[in-house]
Amino acid sequence: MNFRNRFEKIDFLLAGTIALFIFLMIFLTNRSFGFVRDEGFYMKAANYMADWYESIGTNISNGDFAKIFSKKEIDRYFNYNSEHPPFMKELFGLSQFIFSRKLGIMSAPMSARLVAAVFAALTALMIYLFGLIFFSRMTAVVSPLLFFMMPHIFFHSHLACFDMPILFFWSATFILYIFCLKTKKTSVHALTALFFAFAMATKHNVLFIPIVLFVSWLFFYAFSYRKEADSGSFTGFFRAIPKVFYFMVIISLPVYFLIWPRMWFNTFNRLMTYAEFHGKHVNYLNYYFGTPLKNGPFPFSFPWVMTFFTTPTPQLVCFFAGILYFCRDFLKSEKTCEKEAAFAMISGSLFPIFLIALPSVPIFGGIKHWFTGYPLMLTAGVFLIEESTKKLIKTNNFKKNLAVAAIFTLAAVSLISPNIKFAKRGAAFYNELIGGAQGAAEARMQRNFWGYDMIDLADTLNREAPENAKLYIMTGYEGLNPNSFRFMQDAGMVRSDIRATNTLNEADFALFFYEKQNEHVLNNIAYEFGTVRPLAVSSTDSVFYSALFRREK
Amino acid sequence: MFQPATTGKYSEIIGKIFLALFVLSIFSTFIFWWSGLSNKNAPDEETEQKFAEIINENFRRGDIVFTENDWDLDFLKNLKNGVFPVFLDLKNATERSVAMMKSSDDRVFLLLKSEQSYEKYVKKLNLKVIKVFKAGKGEVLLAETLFKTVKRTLVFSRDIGKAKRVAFSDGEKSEDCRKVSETKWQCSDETWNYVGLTTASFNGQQKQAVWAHPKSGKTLEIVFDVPEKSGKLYFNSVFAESAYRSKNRAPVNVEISADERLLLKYASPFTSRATEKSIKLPENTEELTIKLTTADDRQRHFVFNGYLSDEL
Repeated sequence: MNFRNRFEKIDFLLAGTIALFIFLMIFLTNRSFGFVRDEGFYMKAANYMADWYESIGTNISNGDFAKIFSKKEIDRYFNYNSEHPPFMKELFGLSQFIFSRKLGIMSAPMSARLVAAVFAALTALMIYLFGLIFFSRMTAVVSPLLFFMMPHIFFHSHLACFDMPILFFWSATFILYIFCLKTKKTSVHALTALFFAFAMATKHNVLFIPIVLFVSWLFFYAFSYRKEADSGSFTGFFRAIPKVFYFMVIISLPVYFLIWPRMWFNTFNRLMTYAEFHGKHVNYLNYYFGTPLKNGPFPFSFPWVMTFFTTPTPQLVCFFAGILYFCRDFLKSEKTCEKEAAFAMISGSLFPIFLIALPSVPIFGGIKHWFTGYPLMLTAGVFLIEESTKKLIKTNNFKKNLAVAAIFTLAAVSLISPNIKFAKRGAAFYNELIGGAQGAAEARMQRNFWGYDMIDLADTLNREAPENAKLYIMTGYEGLNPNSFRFMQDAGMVRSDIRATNTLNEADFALFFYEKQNEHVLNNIAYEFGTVRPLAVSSTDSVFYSALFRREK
Repeated sequence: MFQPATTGKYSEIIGKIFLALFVLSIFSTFIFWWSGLSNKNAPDEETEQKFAEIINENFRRGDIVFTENDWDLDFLKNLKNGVFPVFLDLKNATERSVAMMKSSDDRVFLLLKSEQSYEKYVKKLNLKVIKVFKAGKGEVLLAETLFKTVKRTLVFSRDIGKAKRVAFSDGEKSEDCRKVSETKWQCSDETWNYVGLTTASFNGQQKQAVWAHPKSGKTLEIVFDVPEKSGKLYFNSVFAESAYRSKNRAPVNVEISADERLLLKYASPFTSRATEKSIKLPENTEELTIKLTTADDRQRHFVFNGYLSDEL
């Protein structure tokens, strides 16, 4: 992993254009996606945060500074959804405070999704910089575009959740670590640690990063670094440890606590509760080739196979190519720090998948829990394809670049169709290697995730439902979160007089979100409503995902 | 100077392989997603229309429908009201599970994608075919199961309309529920407050069941006349709609008596698993009474099914 290119004037234009394009693509298509279960919780938490910002203003004007950070006040606003750190929720709340409450230019839910779009743009920017600095300008341009042309990625980029932000933080931390290895500048190490604090305050996934990187560093120390001058002694060992690891203790941890005021009080107990929640996380039932994965041990193959079948094939080839590129770098590099950098890239790409593959680790749902390393391997893969194409063209550089541009343009064009087909339900995408949506349904894979897929049904519901109608939202069966429903109303996607219920017997209309394990709900609706005939169905390639029913008796 | 990624003999070969794979992936993406291949296995509109027409014409209450294709359900859009249940689990169905899903000697419709599926399912499910309908490219089989089960003299889900009495009592006075259909007794204006037919998942299998949501401080009584030759009681219960996960930890207490002699008594456990009980009936039992109580009725989505058999 060598520094190959500097950031030049043209890169401002290219990176800025790409980031802006991604931001607009994400933000302007926000209304195509229903609100997933998690968004219901995080948007509610954002309300609390916006309230907190309001209260800060009030307390300051009252001169009551002590009250702002009192336990009572902090608990009041931070206790909700305390199982996750608050950084993203603070940003969602800030966005709501400014754009919804103060400026009144967008609804509260959309102000949260605005933050998601900003993180998508930041991710595009990160991939561009990674591609430019370590590979080539062509790779820098192509990689972010191919990255967002994965339906799962495009889908998750819209959501006011933590998954895309943590992808950004995960990949960026690994990239920054390479900078640390190569530059040795204290400021780089300190900034990396500072950045890592925000990563920790976003989601717990990144807590594995220091472990992975330090263990790998120890390995390289044992075999190589310790032979270097003055590193073999006891004190030499501590001097050899990259400063970033020290800074993770003296900078990351304090900043992390600063960002999370709830941890200022009853710190130990609250940290334990946080750790316990994730240590004992429930498993979400997933169908995997017709087998319901309910209790562990889970098959080691699960996330690998899911990645294989849920990534569009051009990007999948890039993943493999990228890993191979890193492996080659690892094997061929002469300097230890180069080897370590290559190894960090392999770890950053594959560790998230490996972790979920462990039979004792619960399956938390879709691929969003292990896609955090995708940008790294994709970018390297794009570069390998670029280089290989250039090798084939024996003439001048212009023709070489033209050939590369042509091949990636062709790839991008080919990906338009699947992206449009799954524009409203990227979480349900399966590639042609399993036969697309139909093949996956035949193979009895989990069809969709997160109970959000009702945008195609909303028009019919809004048109057909009488005033104050009650809608069964299937919450008890991984259907729609009542908060998500309410926020869809706030965003104007569903009529505000329609009331959500989780009791089928009192409903006038019913949503049915298909999953194999929930099939019986279809007949529950039929018995209660007197019909199994849907009023509207949402489907892609004839595979149905959800349906709307009306009481006929 | 940097070495290009593809420098070196093996790196070059690998680079070429990946380039070839990449080009191949572009073509496969074009062919699969742009040519209609991604949607080639769905039943055509005519077949779906025919499926619905045949079922609409031949379905009678108590029949059940199985569809081989569990992902394209457009035929549902053309079904008449009252045609259900439709089970999507034909691939996993067994001879026994089909027989147990039915509540009596009713018939089974199989919606098959093609003629080739006929042999497979008739043999697997041990069916006696009554009639075969051609439906576009597919077929509809109307059949009976040959699986021998014990004779069921009373099936709670099927016969809930025949209950002698359904009422809530508080020890002093009793309020009868009103029979509003052959499958439902309405017990108050609250829409959830009824006793009637539903389906629920019993240990992963969908089955017909009786919705019987108890009320705090009251006893829900369901009384059946016991048919002649009834020898054994099978009683299963479960919380529907994940109610077992509710923060409300008050159990539903179940008491079943035969002619006022207590046969079964248990408190519903808080798991997703169904409770399955069976017990011999005393000789010449005339009346069976199911009593359900709970201290706190929030999310007590209690359902039960079962039957009386002629086993002695």
